[in-house]
Amino acid sequence: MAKDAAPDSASLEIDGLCVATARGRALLDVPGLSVASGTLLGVRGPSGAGKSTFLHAVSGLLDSARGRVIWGGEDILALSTERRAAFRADKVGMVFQDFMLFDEMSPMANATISGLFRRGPGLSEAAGDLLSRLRVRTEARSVASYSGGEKQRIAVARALAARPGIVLADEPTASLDRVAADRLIEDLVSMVRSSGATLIAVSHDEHLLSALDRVITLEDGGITRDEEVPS
Amino acid sequence: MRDLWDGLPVLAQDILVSCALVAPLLALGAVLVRRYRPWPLVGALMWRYRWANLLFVLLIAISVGMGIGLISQERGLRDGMARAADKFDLVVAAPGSELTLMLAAVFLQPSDVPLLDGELYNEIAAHERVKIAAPIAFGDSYGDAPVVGTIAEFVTHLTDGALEGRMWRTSSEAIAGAAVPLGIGDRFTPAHGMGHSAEDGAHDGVEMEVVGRMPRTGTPWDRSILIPVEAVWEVHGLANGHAPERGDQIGPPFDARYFPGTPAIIVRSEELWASYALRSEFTRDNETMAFFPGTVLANLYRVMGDVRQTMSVMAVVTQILVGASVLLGLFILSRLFQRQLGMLRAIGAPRRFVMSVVWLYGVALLAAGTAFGMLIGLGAARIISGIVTERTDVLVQAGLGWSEAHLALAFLVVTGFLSLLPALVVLRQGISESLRS
Repeated sequence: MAKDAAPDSASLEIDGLCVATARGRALLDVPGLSVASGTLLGVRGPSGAGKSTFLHAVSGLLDSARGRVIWGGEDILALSTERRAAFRADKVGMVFQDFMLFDEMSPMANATISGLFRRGPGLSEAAGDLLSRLRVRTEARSVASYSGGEKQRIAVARALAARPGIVLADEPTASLDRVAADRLIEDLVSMVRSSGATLIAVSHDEHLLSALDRVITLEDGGITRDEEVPS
Repeated sequence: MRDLWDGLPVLAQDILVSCALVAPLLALGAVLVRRYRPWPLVGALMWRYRWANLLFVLLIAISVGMGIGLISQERGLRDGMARAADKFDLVVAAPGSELTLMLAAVFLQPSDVPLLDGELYNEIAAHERVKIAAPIAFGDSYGDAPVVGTIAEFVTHLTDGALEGRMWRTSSEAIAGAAVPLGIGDRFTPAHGMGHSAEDGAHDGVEMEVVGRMPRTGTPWDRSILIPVEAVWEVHGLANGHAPERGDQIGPPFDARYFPGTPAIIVRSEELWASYALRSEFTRDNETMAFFPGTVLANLYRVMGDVRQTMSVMAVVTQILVGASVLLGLFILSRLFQRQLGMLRAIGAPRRFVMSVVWLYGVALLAAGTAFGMLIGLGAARIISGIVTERTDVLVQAGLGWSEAHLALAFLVVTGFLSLLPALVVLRQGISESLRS
C-alpha cells in the first residue's frame, strides 16, 4: 500500500514527566523517553501500573502532569487547556477501549465528528475512504446495532479521518473477541503505518503489541523495560 | 423616547417586548454556537435519553401550562364580564350596593332590593338626553331561565334588532334567550322565585307564548326569558303600569299612579358625555343612585388585579421550582453522558463546544416544554372557559395573548441562562476523570 502523506507526524520527547494525586502519591514518573516520528509504540503493564495515565499525560489530558512532553518540538504541557485541545484536534487521533461512539448517529457522522467543532478540508472524503477501507457498512442511520468490531473500526476511522500525526489507542482490542481483535490490529497497524503517524497503544493484547515496533513496560508508574519488537 | 414608544401600535410594542425578552438568550446561544455545529450531538443525546427527556418536557409543560392557563382564564373572564356589561350604559336604582345591583341587573343574579317608583321612572324616561329607559323586573323563572320583565326597546337594544320571530304584542307573549330550550310557539308557565326556592304552582293559570328568540349574545341574558314588564306586574296581582282605560297598552309611557315599582332602570343616552350628566343628575342622597356597570367592573378588576398579580407570582414561583428540578435533572443527565463529553474533549473539542452541547440540550428541553406548555395552557383555559360559560352564561373566551407569551418567554430566558450551570459543572470535571467515569 502506498504511503499517504503524513503532514502531522511527530516525534515524542518526554523529560521528567510526573503525575501525582492531589495528596502527592506518584502515579507516573518517567524521567525521559524518546520516540521517533512514525514509531508504533506499545505500552504494557499490569493493571494500575499507570498505562492509561501515561497515555492521558502524553496527550495533554491531565492538568496535574508536570515535566515536559514535547511533540514535534512543542511542549504540550506548557500550553493552556484550550491550546492543548486545539493541538489534539489538529494532530492527535484517539481510539478508546469501549469505542466511545454516539450510537444514535450514523457511521459517517461518528467518523466525522471532529468536523462539528473544527474546520478542515476533506474530512468527509477521508472518513468515507477510511470506512470503505475498513469494510464498514455506511448505510445505517445509527451504529447501535453494529458489532463491537465494526464499532471499533468506526472509532479508528474517526481517529484517522483528520489525518493526524499522532494516534493514541487505549486498550483498543480489549472489548473485542479474538477474531475481531486480530482484524482490527491488522487494519489499525497497516493504516497507521501507511499514514506515517506515530502510534502509542496501551494494551494487554500480545497480538497487538507484537505487531508494533517497540514496547515499553510500565510498573508502579515507571518504565521498567523498553524493547524493540523483532520484525 | 417615551413618546416614540407610546406612539407605537400595541402589537408592535408586544412584539418588541418579546424580542427584548428573548434577545439575551439568542445572543448567548449565538456566542456559544458560533462556528460550531453541535446540533447532531444534541439530537443524539435527546434520542438516547428520550424517556427522561419526555418526562422533563411534560414537567415543564404542565408548569408553564398551569401558569398560562390561569392568567389566560382570568383575562378571558374579565373580557367576558366587560362584554356582558357592554349594553348597560347606566343603571339607576335605589341606594345600596352597586355591586349587588350590577350583579342583579346585568348578570341576572337577583336579590331583594328596594323598588323605584313610577314618578322617578317617568322623570328618567322623559329626560331629553335619555334614549332608552328600561325598567327591569325580575324574580320569576322557568326551569333554569330567569324570567325578566322589561320593554321592547331594551330587547331591540340587547339584540341589535336581530330577533328571530317577532317582538311581543301582548302581555302573554315572550322572547326567549338563545340558550333557553323553548322554540317559537312554545308555551310555558313561569314559577315564582328562582332555583330551589321557586314555587311552580304560584302562577297557575298564567301561560306565556314564545314569539321570538334572541340571537346569542354571550351574556347571562342568553338563558333568560324576556316578557313585557306589564306581564310581571300582572301575574303578581299588581297594576300593570297603565290606567285601567289603557290596560291593554304594552310599553311606555307608564302611568306613575299604576306603576308598581322596578328594582332598576337601565338607561341609555344619546351620547357618552350625556351618560355622565345623567349619572350626576340621578345620584341623589337617600333617593336614587346611578352608576356605570363598567366602573363597578373596573373596581372589581382592581381587586382581581391583585389576585392576578398573586396568581402570576404563584405561577412564576411554580415555574421556577420546576425549572430548578429540571436543572437538577440536567445535572444528573449530564453525569450520564459525562464520558461522551470527556471523549469529545479528549479528541480536541474546545470547552465552548462542549458547553454549547450541554446548554443546547437543556434549552431544547425547556423550549419544547414551554411550547408544549403553551398548548396545554390554551387547552386548559378553553376547557375551564367552557365550564365557566356554562355555569354563568358569561361567554369566556380564553386564548393565548401576548401577556401569556411574555410570561412563557421570561421563563424560558431565565431557565435558559440557568442551564449554563450544568454545562459549567461538566467542564469542571477533568477530561481523564470523565473518560474513566
